[in-house]
Amino acid sequence: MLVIFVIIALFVYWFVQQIRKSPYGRTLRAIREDDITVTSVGKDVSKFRWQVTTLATCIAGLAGIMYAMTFNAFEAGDFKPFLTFDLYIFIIIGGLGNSRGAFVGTALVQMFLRAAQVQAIKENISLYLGSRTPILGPLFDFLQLDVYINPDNMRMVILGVILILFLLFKPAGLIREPKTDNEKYLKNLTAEERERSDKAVLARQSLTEKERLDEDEKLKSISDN
Amino acid sequence: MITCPHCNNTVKETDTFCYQCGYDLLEDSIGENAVYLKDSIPRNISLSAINIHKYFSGVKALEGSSVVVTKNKLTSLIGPNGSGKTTLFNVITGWLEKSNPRIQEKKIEKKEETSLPESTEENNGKNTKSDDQIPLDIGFVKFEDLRVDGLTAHEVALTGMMRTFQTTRNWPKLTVLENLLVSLPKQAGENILNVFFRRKKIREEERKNTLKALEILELLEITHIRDQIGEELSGGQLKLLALGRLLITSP
Repeated sequence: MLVIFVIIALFVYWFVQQIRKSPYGRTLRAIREDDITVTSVGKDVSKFRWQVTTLATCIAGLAGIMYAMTFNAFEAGDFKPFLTFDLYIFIIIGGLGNSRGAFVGTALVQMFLRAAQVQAIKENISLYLGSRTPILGPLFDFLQLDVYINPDNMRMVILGVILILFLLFKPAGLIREPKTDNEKYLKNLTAEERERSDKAVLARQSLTEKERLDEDEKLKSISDN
Repeated sequence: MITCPHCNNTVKETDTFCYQCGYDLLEDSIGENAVYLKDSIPRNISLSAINIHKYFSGVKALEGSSVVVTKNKLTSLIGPNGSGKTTLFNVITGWLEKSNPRIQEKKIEKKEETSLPESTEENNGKNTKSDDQIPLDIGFVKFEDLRVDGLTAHEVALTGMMRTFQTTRNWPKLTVLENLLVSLPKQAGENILNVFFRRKKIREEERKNTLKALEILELLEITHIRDQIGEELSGGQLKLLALGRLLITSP
């Protein structure tokens, strides 16, 4: 079963990457940035949106089938609205705008959630808040508090704090969306056509622009070394 | 004041054509400059927007506005602030739907006499009737002999009438080359099935489109910014890029 799930996950990853790299994916990125300009060049934005929503829903449905197959039994109560919050956390921590980020975010958060349920961790990483707590014991006794706090029963709090920290300090997530470049278009040209275009790019650059680019390359090579 | 021989509208003696129907008053006949509602052969007029009305909840932004753009000429539309220039532009290019003055009159009558029944939505001049049946009072927009009022904004762009915006718009995270490639209409690669089943055709089309985009960049003398992303460009470069987006769509 695990092997089948991995194969399906890789297939979906390949499928989504093919769309992203295609002219269809390019138009989707343009719609995400400015749908008004996309409309002004003659493209039906609503058509792209409903197609993508349908596709995403199909992929989510496939994920739902695989998820349900991991349970021996399930009910509607297993799919509470909080599940959506979990999915948002996967994406935000992993990285927005790319499939690898979704994989990494899901893996990391799920590892945390599974690890938190291990009995040894629950016992060793726990904090008692109750009448027997030193110094604050009477206060907790007054509040009728008598609990053991561990990563499992505090998981939503921990994830919430992590989410806020990511949104404040690393909003792009662990894996940023890859920067676009023209290599995939220029590689379709013949060597002469490519050389002509590259020469035109270099020829029109001003001296200051050339100096800036040379400086950037130097810094990059220093950081690589 | 004189009467238009075509629609009997009263026009000034100094008017060269009737703003109601576009009849050429100078020629006073079926001349080269005349544009008729029934005439399906375009003369030297590329765009005619006749008798356009636009109301925003009772505010009359446009009331009987008309503009005719002649081919191979630069036409300017000037006016004071709030006179309706942008509204007329948006109606012509399909971003706003023009109002039907008949419905507006019924709404006004309904306010005055509350016993009037609810008026049903009439055909607001959508592009469903033949040219012979266009009522003059509703108005129309024609581009290269094609009625475009009633079309959506992207459909109007596909007819060949493209527009830019007062505040220059672009796609900030896409490269300059990608900004032009996205602007090309009806690409085979924009069909999701073709992405998986017609990869060779897409590759060939992308190659052709890339060469066309590079030609446009050379024409506009902005080849050196080919690899920069939209948000790194200066104001002037953004204007040139917006112009490039229009040029690349022409055959």
